[in-house]
Amino acid sequence: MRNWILVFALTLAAAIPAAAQPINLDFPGLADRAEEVVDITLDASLLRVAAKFLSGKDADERAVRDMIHGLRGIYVRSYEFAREGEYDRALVDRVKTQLGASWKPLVTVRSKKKENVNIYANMRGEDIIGLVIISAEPREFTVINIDGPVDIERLSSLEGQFGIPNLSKEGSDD
Amino acid sequence: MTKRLAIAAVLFCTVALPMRADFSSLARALDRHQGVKRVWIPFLGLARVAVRIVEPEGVHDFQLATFTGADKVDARELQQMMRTHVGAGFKPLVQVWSRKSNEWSFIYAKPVGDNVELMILAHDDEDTVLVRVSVNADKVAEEIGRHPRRVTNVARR
Repeated sequence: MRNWILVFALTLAAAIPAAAQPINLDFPGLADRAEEVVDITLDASLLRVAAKFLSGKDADERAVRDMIHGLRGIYVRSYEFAREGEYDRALVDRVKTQLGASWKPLVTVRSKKKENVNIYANMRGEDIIGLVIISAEPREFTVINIDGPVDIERLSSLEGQFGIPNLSKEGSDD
Repeated sequence: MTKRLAIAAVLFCTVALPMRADFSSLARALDRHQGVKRVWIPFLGLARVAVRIVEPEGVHDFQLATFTGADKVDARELQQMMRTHVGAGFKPLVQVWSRKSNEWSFIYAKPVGDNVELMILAHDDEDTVLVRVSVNADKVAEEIGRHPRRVTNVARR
């Protein structure tokens, strides 16, 4: 009987997707020191409501609606500081350490003077079931967590929506 | 006589409108803060009755209060105030503040079937506004699809 319970518990644990483990994006004390703070939390119920606000007639809005369909949440935390060095860069590692073995690095940008960017994807086979973007600049720290199946081809449709920065535009300016 | 009846009906409607505990509690908490003063808006009750009857662009109901002096309150304190008084079922959607420009917006949302209730506390320049609005998401989306430019005007109003 005990063995059965053990097998059942193990099966259940394996069946629960890795994305069910939420990433803690609380950074105590950081908002107190920041000059500008952006905190956006869109869980599954709010995403469903947000999707209703998007018109099916407009192609761009339709693309966003299709993209957010099935997502469990979009979380954005961004802190801008008056001076350099007002936040501990170890915060980046604090986010990274929460990512389990299924999380794979997609993009890593290193710069001593400018921003460091890390993009991690939570993989289940060939599919991406979550995305974390960490951007650490000398005066700005941003973390974006997209929880749920992500189609990389259509990811650009989320740029500029729900507080997600327009990444391609920023890139083209450099 | 008809005029008196009309006035009585309007007064009854104004009094009979449900006073939402979450909105009132938040407005009172803000009003009690030192240096903050609620500004009385005449005929707002009548406007609310009209909105509840007409339901323009999918808006079922709204409550609005404006304040002066809230620009001196720290954003973190307002965030805590919002969290304490916003009421059950509301979730934080957007919390944005800038100490540099002294602007802040706290938006909480509560999905109720096809409707969504939004509680918004925002400060811009010298104006501080607390709004609770109940809207039908489908109707608003329909409106956006039909008159995309008009929606910007509605939002501004």
